[in-house]
Amino acid sequence: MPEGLALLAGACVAVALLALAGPPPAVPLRHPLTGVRDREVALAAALWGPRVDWRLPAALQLAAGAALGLVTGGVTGLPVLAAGGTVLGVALARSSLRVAIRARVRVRQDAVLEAVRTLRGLLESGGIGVQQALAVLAERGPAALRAEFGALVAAGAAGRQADAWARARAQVGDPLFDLLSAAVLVQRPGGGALGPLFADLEDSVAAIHEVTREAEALQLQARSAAAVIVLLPVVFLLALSALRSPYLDAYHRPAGALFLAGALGVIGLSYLWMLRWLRLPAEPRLAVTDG
Amino acid sequence: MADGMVVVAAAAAGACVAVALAGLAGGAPVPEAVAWLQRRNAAGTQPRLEVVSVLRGQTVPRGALERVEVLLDRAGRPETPEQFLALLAAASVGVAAVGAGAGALRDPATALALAMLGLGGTVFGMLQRLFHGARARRARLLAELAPTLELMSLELSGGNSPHGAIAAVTARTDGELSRELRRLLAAASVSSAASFETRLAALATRLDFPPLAALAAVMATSRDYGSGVGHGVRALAVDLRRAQRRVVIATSRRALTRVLLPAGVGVLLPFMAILLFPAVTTLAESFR
Repeated sequence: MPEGLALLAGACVAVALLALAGPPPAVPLRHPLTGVRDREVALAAALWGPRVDWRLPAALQLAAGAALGLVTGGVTGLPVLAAGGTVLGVALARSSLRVAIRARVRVRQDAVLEAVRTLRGLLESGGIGVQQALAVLAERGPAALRAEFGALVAAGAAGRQADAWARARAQVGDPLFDLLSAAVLVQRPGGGALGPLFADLEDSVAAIHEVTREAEALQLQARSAAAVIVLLPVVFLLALSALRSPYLDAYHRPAGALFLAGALGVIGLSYLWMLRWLRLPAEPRLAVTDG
Repeated sequence: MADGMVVVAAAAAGACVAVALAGLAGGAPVPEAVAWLQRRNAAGTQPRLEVVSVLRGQTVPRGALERVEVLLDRAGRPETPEQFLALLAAASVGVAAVGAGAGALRDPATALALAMLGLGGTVFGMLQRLFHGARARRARLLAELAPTLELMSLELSGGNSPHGAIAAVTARTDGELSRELRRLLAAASVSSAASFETRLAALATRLDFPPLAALAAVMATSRDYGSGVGHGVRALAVDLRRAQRRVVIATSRRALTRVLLPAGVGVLLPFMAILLFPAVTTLAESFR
Protein backbone atom coordinates (compact mmCIF):
# COMPACT_ATOMS: atom_id res chain seq x y z
CA MET A 1 0.00 0.00 0.00
CA PRO A 2 2.69 2.61 0.90
CA GLU A 3 4.61 1.72 -2.26
CA GLY A 4 1.47 2.20 -4.34
CA LEU A 5 0.74 5.57 -2.78
CA ALA A 6 4.32 6.70 -3.23
CA LEU A 7 4.12 5.66 -6.89
CA LEU A 8 0.85 7.58 -7.26
CA ALA A 9 2.38 10.65 -5.60
CA GLY A 10 5.37 10.51 -7.93
CA ALA A 11 3.17 10.15 -11.00
CA CYS A 12 1.03 13.04 -9.84
CA VAL A 13 4.05 15.27 -9.32
CA ALA A 14 5.19 14.47 -12.84
CA VAL A 15 1.76 15.26 -14.31
CA ALA A 16 1.54 18.41 -12.20
CA LEU A 17 4.90 19.61 -13.45
CA LEU A 18 3.88 18.85 -17.04
CA ALA A 19 0.62 20.68 -16.53
CA LEU A 20 2.33 23.67 -14.94
CA ALA A 21 4.75 23.87 -17.83
CA GLY A 22 1.81 23.75 -20.26
CA PRO A 23 -1.11 26.17 -20.59
CA PRO A 24 -2.08 28.14 -17.48
CA PRO A 25 -5.54 27.59 -15.91
CA ALA A 26 -8.49 29.31 -17.58
CA VAL A 27 -9.29 31.10 -14.34
CA PRO A 28 -6.13 32.93 -13.28
CA LEU A 29 -5.29 32.11 -9.67
CA ARG A 30 -4.98 35.28 -7.60
CA HIS A 31 -2.52 35.69 -4.81
CA PRO A 32 -4.52 35.36 -1.56
CA LEU A 33 -2.99 38.55 -0.17
CA THR A 34 -4.19 40.52 -3.21
CA GLY A 35 -7.81 39.80 -2.24
CA VAL A 36 -7.16 40.86 1.37
CA ARG A 37 -5.51 44.07 0.22
CA ASP A 38 -8.36 44.83 -2.21
CA ARG A 39 -10.90 44.41 0.58
CA GLU A 40 -8.90 46.69 2.89
CA VAL A 41 -8.52 49.30 0.13
CA ALA A 42 -12.31 49.25 -0.41
CA LEU A 43 -12.90 49.53 3.34
CA ALA A 44 -10.54 52.51 3.72
CA ALA A 45 -12.01 54.23 0.66
CA ALA A 46 -15.58 53.75 1.91
CA LEU A 47 -14.72 55.11 5.36
CA TRP A 48 -12.27 57.92 4.79
CA GLY A 49 -12.01 58.40 1.02
CA PRO A 50 -9.57 57.04 -1.56
CA ARG A 51 -6.59 59.06 -0.31
CA VAL A 52 -6.33 57.25 3.01
CA ASP A 53 -3.85 54.37 3.07
CA TRP A 54 -5.43 50.90 3.24
CA ARG A 55 -3.04 49.93 6.04
CA LEU A 56 -4.89 52.20 8.49
CA PRO A 57 -8.06 50.07 8.91
CA ALA A 58 -5.90 46.93 8.76
CA ALA A 59 -3.71 48.28 11.58
CA LEU A 60 -6.79 49.25 13.63
CA GLN A 61 -8.22 45.75 13.32
CA LEU A 62 -4.92 44.09 14.14
CA ALA A 63 -4.47 46.37 17.17
CA ALA A 64 -7.96 45.49 18.44
CA GLY A 65 -7.23 41.80 17.89
CA ALA A 66 -3.87 41.97 19.66
CA ALA A 67 -5.39 43.87 22.61
CA LEU A 68 -8.24 41.39 23.10
CA GLY A 69 -5.88 38.46 22.56
CA LEU A 70 -3.53 39.75 25.25
CA VAL A 71 -6.41 40.36 27.67
CA THR A 72 -7.99 36.91 27.18
CA GLY A 73 -4.60 35.19 27.21
CA GLY A 74 -3.51 37.12 30.32
CA VAL A 75 -6.72 36.45 32.25
CA THR A 76 -7.14 32.79 31.35
CA GLY A 77 -3.58 31.69 30.68
CA LEU A 78 -4.90 29.58 27.81
CA PRO A 79 -3.06 30.06 24.48
CA VAL A 80 -6.08 28.77 22.56
CA LEU A 81 -8.31 31.37 24.13
CA ALA A 82 -5.70 34.06 23.43
CA ALA A 83 -5.86 33.10 19.74
CA GLY A 84 -9.66 33.07 19.89
CA GLY A 85 -9.60 36.50 21.55
CA THR A 86 -7.37 37.84 18.79
CA VAL A 87 -9.78 36.61 16.10
CA LEU A 88 -12.71 38.01 18.08
CA GLY A 89 -10.99 41.39 18.44
CA VAL A 90 -10.34 41.61 14.70
CA ALA A 91 -13.95 40.61 14.00
CA LEU A 92 -15.36 43.17 16.45
CA ALA A 93 -13.25 45.98 14.99
CA ARG A 94 -14.21 44.95 11.48
CA SER A 95 -17.92 44.82 12.26
CA SER A 96 -17.70 48.29 13.91
CA LEU A 97 -16.12 49.67 10.74
CA ARG A 98 -18.80 47.95 8.66
CA VAL A 99 -21.57 49.51 10.76
CA ALA A 100 -20.03 52.93 10.11
CA ILE A 101 -19.85 52.17 6.37
CA ARG A 102 -23.46 50.97 6.35
CA ALA A 103 -24.62 54.28 7.88
CA ARG A 104 -22.75 56.21 5.19
CA VAL A 105 -24.16 53.99 2.45
CA ARG A 106 -27.69 54.76 3.64
CA VAL A 107 -27.03 58.51 3.62
CA ARG A 108 -25.63 58.20 0.10
CA GLN A 109 -28.56 56.08 -1.11
CA ASP A 110 -31.02 58.69 0.20
CA ALA A 111 -29.02 61.48 -1.44
CA VAL A 112 -28.99 59.74 -4.83
CA LEU A 113 -32.72 59.04 -4.63
CA GLU A 114 -33.37 62.68 -3.72
CA ALA A 115 -31.24 63.79 -6.68
CA VAL A 116 -33.24 61.54 -9.03
CA ARG A 117 -36.49 62.94 -7.59
CA THR A 118 -35.31 66.55 -8.06
CA LEU A 119 -34.07 65.84 -11.59
CA ARG A 120 -37.40 64.29 -12.50
CA GLY A 121 -39.29 67.30 -11.12
CA LEU A 122 -37.07 69.75 -12.98
CA LEU A 123 -37.24 67.86 -16.30
CA GLU A 124 -41.01 67.29 -16.11
CA SER A 125 -41.63 70.98 -15.37
CA GLY A 126 -40.36 71.68 -18.92
CA GLY A 127 -38.21 74.50 -20.20
CA ILE A 128 -35.08 73.16 -18.53
CA GLY A 129 -32.45 70.86 -20.01
CA VAL A 130 -30.35 68.17 -18.38
CA GLN A 131 -27.28 70.40 -18.01
CA GLN A 132 -29.31 73.17 -16.36
CA ALA A 133 -30.94 70.60 -14.06
CA LEU A 134 -27.46 69.38 -13.07
CA ALA A 135 -26.47 72.98 -12.30
CA VAL A 136 -29.54 73.31 -10.05
CA LEU A 137 -28.55 70.07 -8.27
CA ALA A 138 -25.03 71.43 -7.77
CA GLU A 139 -26.52 74.45 -5.98
CA ARG A 140 -29.62 73.12 -4.24
CA GLY A 141 -29.38 69.35 -4.50
CA PRO A 142 -28.64 66.93 -1.66
CA ALA A 143 -25.65 68.18 0.35
CA ALA A 144 -23.82 64.83 0.10
CA LEU A 145 -23.70 65.03 -3.70
CA ARG A 146 -23.33 68.76 -4.40
CA ALA A 147 -19.58 68.51 -4.92
CA GLU A 148 -20.01 65.73 -7.51
CA PHE A 149 -22.72 67.62 -9.41
CA GLY A 150 -20.61 70.81 -9.23
CA ALA A 151 -17.68 68.94 -10.80
CA LEU A 152 -20.02 67.56 -13.51
CA VAL A 153 -21.29 71.05 -14.39
CA ALA A 154 -17.73 72.42 -14.51
CA ALA A 155 -16.59 69.52 -16.70
CA GLY A 156 -19.64 70.00 -18.95
CA ALA A 157 -18.54 73.59 -19.59
CA ALA A 158 -15.09 72.31 -20.53
CA GLY A 159 -16.54 69.53 -22.75
CA ARG A 160 -15.17 66.64 -20.66
CA GLN A 161 -18.27 65.46 -18.89
CA ALA A 162 -17.83 61.75 -19.62
CA ASP A 163 -14.63 61.68 -17.54
CA ALA A 164 -16.34 63.64 -14.78
CA TRP A 165 -19.22 61.14 -14.73
CA ALA A 166 -16.69 58.30 -14.42
CA ARG A 167 -15.01 60.02 -11.45
CA ALA A 168 -18.39 60.76 -9.84
CA ARG A 169 -19.46 57.11 -10.25
CA ALA A 170 -16.26 55.93 -8.61
CA GLN A 171 -16.72 58.37 -5.69
CA VAL A 172 -20.45 57.77 -5.08
CA GLY A 173 -20.36 54.01 -5.71
CA ASP A 174 -24.12 53.54 -5.86
CA PRO A 175 -25.99 51.43 -8.48
CA LEU A 176 -28.74 54.06 -8.86
CA PHE A 177 -26.14 56.76 -9.48
CA ASP A 178 -24.55 54.48 -12.11
CA LEU A 179 -27.92 54.20 -13.82
CA LEU A 180 -28.49 57.97 -13.59
CA SER A 181 -25.11 58.52 -15.20
CA ALA A 182 -25.75 55.91 -17.92
CA ALA A 183 -29.19 57.42 -18.62
CA VAL A 184 -27.74 60.92 -19.11
CA LEU A 185 -24.93 59.54 -21.30
CA VAL A 186 -27.32 57.38 -23.39
CA GLN A 187 -29.91 60.15 -23.69
CA ARG A 188 -27.49 62.83 -24.93
CA PRO A 189 -26.90 61.67 -28.54
CA GLY A 190 -30.33 60.23 -29.31
CA GLY A 191 -32.62 62.24 -27.08
CA GLY A 192 -35.35 60.55 -25.06
CA ALA A 193 -37.61 61.32 -22.16
CA LEU A 194 -35.67 61.08 -18.90
CA GLY A 195 -38.71 62.15 -16.81
CA PRO A 196 -40.73 58.89 -17.08
CA LEU A 197 -37.58 56.80 -16.58
CA PHE A 198 -36.69 58.69 -13.40
CA ALA A 199 -40.31 58.39 -12.21
CA ASP A 200 -40.18 54.59 -12.59
CA LEU A 201 -36.76 54.44 -10.95
CA GLU A 202 -37.86 56.60 -8.06
CA ASP A 203 -40.81 54.32 -7.29
CA SER A 204 -39.06 50.99 -7.74
CA VAL A 205 -35.76 51.88 -6.06
CA ALA A 206 -37.49 53.59 -3.12
CA ALA A 207 -39.59 50.43 -2.63
CA ILE A 208 -36.49 48.21 -2.72
CA HIS A 209 -34.65 50.46 -0.22
CA GLU A 210 -37.67 50.38 2.09
CA VAL A 211 -37.87 46.59 2.04
CA THR A 212 -34.10 46.18 2.42
CA ARG A 213 -33.96 48.47 5.44
CA GLU A 214 -36.91 46.74 7.06
CA ALA A 215 -35.20 43.40 6.49
CA GLU A 216 -31.93 44.73 7.91
CA ALA A 217 -33.73 45.95 11.01
CA LEU A 218 -35.31 42.52 11.45
CA GLN A 219 -31.99 40.80 10.92
CA LEU A 220 -30.32 42.95 13.54
CA GLN A 221 -32.21 40.92 16.15
CA ALA A 222 -30.93 37.66 14.69
CA ARG A 223 -27.37 39.01 14.39
CA SER A 224 -27.39 40.26 17.97
CA ALA A 225 -28.75 36.95 19.25
CA ALA A 226 -26.11 35.05 17.27
CA ALA A 227 -23.32 37.31 18.59
CA VAL A 228 -24.48 36.80 22.18
CA ILE A 229 -24.59 33.02 21.73
CA VAL A 230 -21.10 33.05 20.19
CA LEU A 231 -19.72 35.18 23.02
CA LEU A 232 -21.21 32.93 25.73
CA PRO A 233 -18.37 30.35 25.84
CA VAL A 234 -15.70 33.06 25.86
CA VAL A 235 -17.45 34.91 28.69
CA PHE A 236 -17.90 31.64 30.59
CA LEU A 237 -14.22 30.76 30.30
CA LEU A 238 -13.14 34.30 31.21
CA ALA A 239 -15.40 34.32 34.28
CA LEU A 240 -14.12 30.95 35.53
CA SER A 241 -10.51 32.04 34.91
CA ALA A 242 -11.05 35.26 36.85
CA LEU A 243 -12.43 33.17 39.74
CA ARG A 244 -9.33 30.92 39.52
CA SER A 245 -11.59 27.90 39.22
CA PRO A 246 -9.80 24.52 39.01
CA TYR A 247 -12.60 23.42 36.65
CA LEU A 248 -10.54 24.78 33.74
CA ASP A 249 -7.46 22.67 34.51
CA ALA A 250 -8.53 20.21 31.83
CA TYR A 251 -8.01 22.90 29.18
CA HIS A 252 -4.39 23.45 30.23
CA ARG A 253 -3.51 19.94 29.04
CA PRO A 254 -2.72 19.34 25.31
CA ALA A 255 -5.84 17.22 24.72
CA GLY A 256 -8.06 19.81 26.39
CA ALA A 257 -6.44 22.66 24.48
CA LEU A 258 -6.97 20.78 21.23
CA PHE A 259 -10.61 20.12 22.11
CA LEU A 260 -11.16 23.79 23.02
CA ALA A 261 -9.55 24.93 19.76
CA GLY A 262 -11.80 22.57 17.79
CA ALA A 263 -14.97 23.68 19.60
CA LEU A 264 -14.12 27.39 19.22
CA GLY A 265 -13.32 26.78 15.53
CA VAL A 266 -16.71 25.13 14.98
CA ILE A 267 -18.43 28.04 16.77
CA GLY A 268 -16.56 30.58 14.64
CA LEU A 269 -17.36 28.76 11.39
CA SER A 270 -21.03 28.44 12.38
CA TYR A 271 -21.18 32.16 13.10
CA LEU A 272 -19.74 32.88 9.64
CA TRP A 273 -22.33 30.47 8.20
CA MET A 274 -25.10 32.36 10.01
CA LEU A 275 -23.84 35.68 8.69
CA ARG A 276 -23.85 34.19 5.20
CA TRP A 277 -27.49 33.17 5.54
CA LEU A 278 -28.38 36.62 6.85
CA ARG A 279 -26.75 38.42 3.92
CA LEU A 280 -29.33 40.23 1.78
CA PRO A 281 -29.00 40.34 -2.01
CA ALA A 282 -27.46 43.67 -2.96
CA GLU A 283 -27.96 45.30 -6.33
CA PRO A 284 -24.71 45.08 -8.29
CA ARG A 285 -23.04 48.15 -9.76
CA LEU A 286 -23.74 48.89 -13.41
CA ALA A 287 -20.59 48.86 -15.55
CA VAL A 288 -20.83 52.03 -17.64
CA THR A 289 -18.31 52.69 -20.39
CA ASP A 290 -17.14 56.19 -21.15
CA GLY A 291 -16.45 55.71 -24.85
CA MET B 1 6.63 7.49 11.18
CA ALA B 2 6.30 5.52 7.97
CA ASP B 3 2.51 5.63 8.35
CA GLY B 4 2.63 9.40 8.68
CA MET B 5 4.69 9.57 5.52
CA VAL B 6 2.01 7.55 3.74
CA VAL B 7 -0.64 10.09 4.74
CA VAL B 8 1.58 12.95 3.58
CA ALA B 9 2.23 11.14 0.30
CA ALA B 10 -1.49 10.53 -0.18
CA ALA B 11 -2.31 14.17 0.56
CA ALA B 12 0.41 15.28 -1.83
CA ALA B 13 -1.03 12.95 -4.45
CA GLY B 14 -4.47 14.51 -4.13
CA ALA B 15 -3.08 18.05 -4.22
CA CYS B 16 -0.95 17.23 -7.26
CA VAL B 17 -3.91 15.74 -9.08
CA ALA B 18 -5.90 18.90 -8.40
CA VAL B 19 -3.08 21.16 -9.64
CA ALA B 20 -2.46 18.97 -12.65
CA LEU B 21 -6.08 18.91 -13.67
CA ALA B 22 -6.54 22.62 -13.09
CA GLY B 23 -3.67 23.10 -15.49
CA LEU B 24 -4.84 20.52 -18.00
CA ALA B 25 -8.53 21.41 -17.96
CA GLY B 26 -8.11 25.10 -18.64
CA GLY B 27 -6.46 27.10 -21.33
CA ALA B 28 -5.09 30.61 -21.33
CA PRO B 29 -7.81 33.26 -21.77
CA VAL B 30 -8.01 34.08 -25.45
CA PRO B 31 -9.55 37.04 -27.26
CA GLU B 32 -13.21 36.66 -28.19
CA ALA B 33 -12.49 36.44 -31.92
CA VAL B 34 -9.90 33.69 -31.40
CA ALA B 35 -12.35 31.78 -29.19
CA TRP B 36 -14.97 32.02 -31.93
CA LEU B 37 -12.48 30.74 -34.50
CA GLN B 38 -11.53 27.84 -32.20
CA ARG B 39 -15.20 26.95 -31.70
CA ARG B 40 -15.81 27.05 -35.44
CA ASN B 41 -12.83 24.83 -36.18
CA ALA B 42 -13.71 22.48 -33.32
CA ALA B 43 -17.27 22.05 -34.60
CA GLY B 44 -16.14 20.07 -37.61
CA THR B 45 -13.62 17.86 -35.87
CA GLN B 46 -14.25 14.65 -33.97
CA PRO B 47 -13.30 14.33 -30.30
CA ARG B 48 -9.68 13.21 -30.00
CA LEU B 49 -10.20 10.44 -27.46
CA GLU B 50 -11.63 7.22 -28.82
CA VAL B 51 -13.63 6.63 -25.65
CA VAL B 52 -15.32 10.03 -26.04
CA SER B 53 -16.48 9.32 -29.57
CA VAL B 54 -17.81 5.95 -28.40
CA LEU B 55 -19.64 7.65 -25.52
CA ARG B 56 -21.02 10.30 -27.87
CA GLY B 57 -22.62 7.53 -29.91
CA GLN B 58 -24.64 6.14 -26.99
CA THR B 59 -27.97 7.70 -26.07
CA VAL B 60 -27.63 7.84 -22.28
CA PRO B 61 -24.03 9.17 -22.12
CA ARG B 62 -24.85 11.62 -24.91
CA GLY B 63 -27.79 12.93 -22.88
CA ALA B 64 -25.56 13.26 -19.82
CA LEU B 65 -22.84 15.03 -21.80
CA GLU B 66 -25.42 17.41 -23.27
CA ARG B 67 -26.80 18.10 -19.82
CA VAL B 68 -23.29 18.87 -18.51
CA GLU B 69 -22.67 21.07 -21.56
CA VAL B 70 -25.85 23.06 -20.83
CA LEU B 71 -24.86 23.44 -17.17
CA LEU B 72 -21.33 24.58 -18.09
CA ASP B 73 -22.79 27.08 -20.53
CA ARG B 74 -25.22 28.40 -17.92
CA ALA B 75 -22.41 28.74 -15.40
CA GLY B 76 -20.34 30.61 -18.01
CA ARG B 77 -17.45 28.13 -17.80
CA PRO B 78 -15.29 27.74 -20.89
CA GLU B 79 -14.33 24.04 -20.61
CA THR B 80 -15.93 21.25 -22.63
CA PRO B 81 -18.08 18.55 -20.92
CA GLU B 82 -15.32 16.00 -21.53
CA GLN B 83 -12.77 18.22 -19.77
CA PHE B 84 -15.13 18.80 -16.86
CA LEU B 85 -15.90 15.08 -16.49
CA ALA B 86 -12.18 14.24 -16.64
CA LEU B 87 -11.52 16.81 -13.95
CA LEU B 88 -14.40 15.45 -11.87
CA ALA B 89 -13.21 11.85 -12.21
CA ALA B 90 -9.56 12.61 -11.47
CA ALA B 91 -10.24 14.97 -8.57
CA SER B 92 -12.62 12.50 -6.92
CA VAL B 93 -10.18 9.62 -7.41
CA GLY B 94 -7.41 11.80 -5.94
CA VAL B 95 -9.47 12.65 -2.86
CA ALA B 96 -10.56 9.01 -2.56
CA ALA B 97 -6.87 7.98 -2.65
CA VAL B 98 -6.11 10.41 0.17
CA GLY B 99 -9.07 9.03 2.16
CA ALA B 100 -8.00 5.46 1.50
CA GLY B 101 -4.43 6.26 2.54
CA ALA B 102 -5.59 7.83 5.79
CA GLY B 103 -8.08 5.00 6.46
CA ALA B 104 -5.48 2.32 5.76
CA LEU B 105 -3.71 3.39 8.94
CA ARG B 106 -6.65 1.91 10.86
CA ASP B 107 -8.16 -1.00 8.91
CA PRO B 108 -9.30 -1.89 5.36
CA ALA B 109 -12.99 -1.21 6.14
CA THR B 110 -12.18 2.36 7.27
CA ALA B 111 -10.03 2.82 4.17
CA LEU B 112 -12.92 1.72 1.95
CA ALA B 113 -15.42 3.93 3.80
CA LEU B 114 -13.17 6.99 3.61
CA ALA B 115 -12.43 6.34 -0.05
CA MET B 116 -16.15 6.13 -0.84
CA LEU B 117 -16.79 9.24 1.24
CA GLY B 118 -14.04 11.13 -0.56
CA LEU B 119 -15.27 9.99 -3.95
CA GLY B 120 -18.92 10.85 -3.30
CA GLY B 121 -18.12 14.08 -1.48
CA THR B 122 -15.91 15.38 -4.27
CA VAL B 123 -18.43 14.51 -6.99
CA PHE B 124 -21.21 16.14 -4.97
CA GLY B 125 -19.10 19.21 -4.17
CA MET B 126 -18.02 19.79 -7.77
CA LEU B 127 -21.53 19.31 -9.16
CA GLN B 128 -22.92 21.55 -6.44
CA ARG B 129 -20.35 24.20 -7.37
CA LEU B 130 -21.40 23.93 -11.01
CA PHE B 131 -25.09 24.34 -10.15
CA HIS B 132 -24.24 27.24 -7.85
CA GLY B 133 -22.21 28.86 -10.65
CA ALA B 134 -25.21 28.60 -13.00
CA ARG B 135 -27.56 30.10 -10.39
CA ALA B 136 -25.13 32.91 -9.58
CA ARG B 137 -24.67 33.79 -13.25
CA ARG B 138 -28.43 33.82 -13.77
CA ALA B 139 -28.80 36.21 -10.80
CA ARG B 140 -26.06 38.48 -12.20
CA LEU B 141 -27.72 38.58 -15.62
CA LEU B 142 -31.12 39.22 -14.04
CA ALA B 143 -29.73 42.12 -12.01
CA GLU B 144 -28.18 43.59 -15.16
CA LEU B 145 -31.30 43.17 -17.26
CA ALA B 146 -33.43 45.65 -15.27
CA PRO B 147 -31.17 48.70 -15.85
CA THR B 148 -30.57 47.58 -19.44
CA LEU B 149 -34.32 47.57 -20.13
CA GLU B 150 -34.74 50.92 -18.38
CA LEU B 151 -32.05 52.47 -20.55
CA MET B 152 -33.58 50.78 -23.60
CA SER B 153 -36.98 52.32 -22.85
CA LEU B 154 -35.24 55.71 -22.63
CA GLU B 155 -33.73 55.18 -26.08
CA LEU B 156 -37.08 54.00 -27.47
CA SER B 157 -38.80 57.11 -26.09
CA GLY B 158 -36.27 59.14 -28.11
CA GLY B 159 -37.54 57.50 -31.32
CA ASN B 160 -34.83 54.85 -31.80
CA SER B 161 -35.64 51.40 -33.24
CA PRO B 162 -35.57 48.37 -30.87
CA HIS B 163 -32.30 47.08 -32.37
CA GLY B 164 -30.81 50.58 -32.34
CA ALA B 165 -31.87 51.00 -28.71
CA ILE B 166 -30.17 47.75 -27.69
CA ALA B 167 -27.06 48.70 -29.66
CA ALA B 168 -26.94 52.16 -28.03
CA VAL B 169 -27.40 50.77 -24.53
CA THR B 170 -24.92 47.93 -24.89
CA ALA B 171 -22.39 50.38 -26.31
CA ARG B 172 -22.61 52.33 -23.05
CA THR B 173 -22.61 49.40 -20.64
CA ASP B 174 -20.09 46.62 -20.19
CA GLY B 175 -21.65 43.81 -18.18
CA GLU B 176 -21.97 40.12 -18.93
CA LEU B 177 -25.43 40.59 -20.46
CA SER B 178 -24.26 43.55 -22.54
CA ARG B 179 -21.51 41.43 -24.03
CA GLU B 180 -23.97 38.60 -24.85
CA LEU B 181 -26.38 41.06 -26.48
CA ARG B 182 -23.59 42.73 -28.46
CA ARG B 183 -22.53 39.30 -29.71
CA LEU B 184 -26.11 38.50 -30.78
CA LEU B 185 -26.50 41.85 -32.55
CA ALA B 186 -23.25 41.30 -34.43
CA ALA B 187 -24.21 37.73 -35.37
CA ALA B 188 -27.67 38.82 -36.57
CA SER B 189 -26.21 41.61 -38.67
CA VAL B 190 -23.62 39.44 -40.46
CA SER B 191 -25.74 36.32 -40.92
CA SER B 192 -29.29 36.03 -42.19
CA ALA B 193 -29.72 32.48 -40.81
CA ALA B 194 -31.74 33.70 -37.83
CA SER B 195 -33.10 37.07 -36.78
CA PHE B 196 -31.96 38.86 -33.63
CA GLU B 197 -35.27 38.00 -31.91
CA THR B 198 -34.86 34.29 -32.69
CA ARG B 199 -31.29 34.34 -31.40
CA LEU B 200 -32.44 36.19 -28.28
CA ALA B 201 -35.14 33.57 -27.63
CA ALA B 202 -32.55 30.81 -28.13
CA LEU B 203 -30.20 32.53 -25.67
CA ALA B 204 -33.06 32.78 -23.15
CA THR B 205 -33.70 29.03 -23.48
CA ARG B 206 -29.99 28.22 -23.27
CA LEU B 207 -29.53 30.27 -20.11
CA ASP B 208 -32.96 29.37 -18.65
CA PHE B 209 -33.76 33.06 -18.49
CA PRO B 210 -37.52 33.78 -19.05
CA PRO B 211 -37.34 37.62 -18.90
CA LEU B 212 -35.06 37.57 -21.95
CA ALA B 213 -37.60 35.35 -23.74
CA ALA B 214 -40.29 37.91 -22.87
CA LEU B 215 -38.13 40.68 -24.40
CA ALA B 216 -37.65 38.55 -27.53
CA ALA B 217 -41.43 38.01 -27.72
CA VAL B 218 -42.12 41.76 -27.38
CA MET B 219 -39.61 42.56 -30.12
CA ALA B 220 -40.85 39.77 -32.42
CA THR B 221 -44.46 40.92 -31.99
CA SER B 222 -43.44 44.46 -32.81
CA ARG B 223 -41.57 43.30 -35.93
CA ASP B 224 -44.42 41.08 -37.18
CA TYR B 225 -47.45 43.17 -36.24
CA GLY B 226 -46.06 46.67 -35.78
CA SER B 227 -47.03 46.95 -32.11
CA GLY B 228 -45.08 49.35 -29.87
CA VAL B 229 -42.05 48.06 -28.02
CA GLY B 230 -41.59 50.88 -25.51
CA HIS B 231 -44.56 50.01 -23.32
CA GLY B 232 -43.66 46.31 -23.18
CA VAL B 233 -40.02 47.00 -22.35
CA ARG B 234 -40.98 49.47 -19.62
CA ALA B 235 -43.46 47.00 -18.11
CA LEU B 236 -40.81 44.29 -18.18
CA ALA B 237 -38.33 46.56 -16.37
CA VAL B 238 -40.94 47.41 -13.71
CA ASP B 239 -41.69 43.68 -13.28
CA LEU B 240 -38.00 42.92 -12.80
CA ARG B 241 -37.66 45.62 -10.13
CA ARG B 242 -40.70 44.17 -8.35
CA ALA B 243 -39.12 40.74 -8.58
CA GLN B 244 -35.92 42.11 -6.98
CA ARG B 245 -38.05 43.45 -4.13
CA ARG B 246 -39.74 40.08 -3.69
CA VAL B 247 -36.35 38.34 -3.62
CA VAL B 248 -35.18 40.64 -0.81
CA ILE B 249 -38.34 39.91 1.20
CA ALA B 250 -38.10 36.15 0.60
CA THR B 251 -34.37 36.01 1.44
CA SER B 252 -34.90 37.97 4.62
CA ARG B 253 -37.74 35.76 5.86
CA ARG B 254 -36.00 32.54 4.90
CA ALA B 255 -32.76 33.56 6.59
CA LEU B 256 -34.33 33.95 10.03
CA THR B 257 -35.43 30.33 9.93
CA ARG B 258 -32.25 29.02 8.34
CA VAL B 259 -29.92 30.41 11.02
CA LEU B 260 -31.58 28.20 13.61
CA LEU B 261 -29.61 25.17 12.36
CA PRO B 262 -26.08 26.65 12.66
CA ALA B 263 -27.09 28.38 15.91
CA GLY B 264 -28.32 25.12 17.43
CA VAL B 265 -25.85 22.61 16.02
CA GLY B 266 -22.79 24.75 15.39
CA VAL B 267 -22.83 27.07 18.39
CA LEU B 268 -24.93 25.72 21.25
CA LEU B 269 -23.67 22.14 20.90
CA PRO B 270 -19.93 23.07 21.03
CA PHE B 271 -20.74 25.44 23.92
CA MET B 272 -22.32 22.57 25.84
CA ALA B 273 -19.28 20.45 24.98
CA ILE B 274 -16.93 23.16 26.33
CA LEU B 275 -19.02 23.26 29.52
CA LEU B 276 -19.00 19.51 30.03
CA PHE B 277 -15.52 18.55 28.79
CA PRO B 278 -13.69 19.11 32.14
CA ALA B 279 -16.37 17.19 34.05
CA VAL B 280 -16.38 14.30 31.57
CA THR B 281 -12.57 13.99 31.49
CA THR B 282 -12.43 14.06 35.30
CA LEU B 283 -15.08 11.33 35.46
CA ALA B 284 -13.27 9.25 32.86
CA GLU B 285 -10.00 9.53 34.79
CA SER B 286 -11.68 8.51 38.07
CA PHE B 287 -13.16 5.39 36.41
CA ARG B 288 -9.75 4.23 35.12
